[in-house]
Amino acid sequence: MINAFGEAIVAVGAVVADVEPSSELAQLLVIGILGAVALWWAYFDRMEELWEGAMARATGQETGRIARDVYSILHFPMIAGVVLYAVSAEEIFLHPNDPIAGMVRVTLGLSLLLFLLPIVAATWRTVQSFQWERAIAAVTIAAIVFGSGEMGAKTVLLVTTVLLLGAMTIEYFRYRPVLAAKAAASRSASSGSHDERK
Amino acid sequence: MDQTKRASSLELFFDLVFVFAITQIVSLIVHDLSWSGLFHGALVLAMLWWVWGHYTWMGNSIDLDPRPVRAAILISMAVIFVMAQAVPDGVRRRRRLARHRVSDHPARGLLAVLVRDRRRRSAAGGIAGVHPGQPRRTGRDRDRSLSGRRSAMVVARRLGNRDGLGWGCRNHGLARQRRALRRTPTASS
Repeated sequence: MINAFGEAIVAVGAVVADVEPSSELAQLLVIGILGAVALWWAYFDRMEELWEGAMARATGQETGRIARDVYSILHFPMIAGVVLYAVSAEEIFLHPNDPIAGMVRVTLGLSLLLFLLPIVAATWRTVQSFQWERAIAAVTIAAIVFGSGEMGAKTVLLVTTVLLLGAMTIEYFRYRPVLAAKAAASRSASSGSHDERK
Repeated sequence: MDQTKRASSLELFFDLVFVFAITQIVSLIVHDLSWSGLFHGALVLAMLWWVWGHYTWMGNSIDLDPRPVRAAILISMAVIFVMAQAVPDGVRRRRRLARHRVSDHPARGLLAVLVRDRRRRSAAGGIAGVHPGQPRRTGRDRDRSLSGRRSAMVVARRLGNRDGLGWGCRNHGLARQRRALRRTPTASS
């Protein structure tokens, strides 16, 4: 997973490398990085811990089933989401002030849905907890992107990023006690030895 | 054995070719920004994802330190680099992509042999012994309860599997399962 993020940043960097530096571009890059930070936070801060803890607690064949569902199956749309985010960012960076073109709307909207909803599903699969903040944020952001009309691409990107960060913040405070309990439980159950590369 | 092993530097290094492959998919989609472009991107990503899954799974289930294994991984890296290079062109000219996909086989075959070899050697140590006392299962769960050597053969066959699609999920589950069992004292007795 971290590889996909690396790729997204490299891809966007490669596009803007040829663009004349300006304060406009600097603003865009900051928004772009904020968006990447929001996605990174959404995945790496709590999820790994939650899922791996669940896997460490599972016994027998259940461990394999969780790994299959969460890693092999649900990670595929997540990676696709990051790929589409990179595609959308590239296009938006090239035309920051125009309204978002039709197909880019599709890729940006889809990217957030594909990235966030499987995370919700994986959390439900592992610890039977529903991350409604994330689900609502994903659907709202997709609706905003599709209905953005004449709004400039930069503004849309900023609004979506702020929304996502907001939802993550609410979730962070809601999940803090849950996570502390889960972490304590999984520490005592087993020392996890799962591969965190994806 | 170090049970809390994290992704090794070799694995992370190996993953860099997949980073390049993903970059190629992004450029594939950017250059054909349409529903069909998205579909092609999804197809290629699916292939790569399941190939990648095989390697990740393998890294989790065998020891990557011996030199022949390292050499095999590095050779596969070169092969995947070539595959990734072929991504944008491959969708336009499918036959070429197919050729590159085929070129992955020797590397994976080599890996499969090494895996089998190491498994055989480690069988005495009980690493590959999964569910020794349980009756043979059928259907979905069959693979998980095979004896060490038979499962090594299944592994080898699947690593060399032509399409790389469809098997990944079960392999992945198998690997996690086996590692979980390896961790328990009874499996290593």
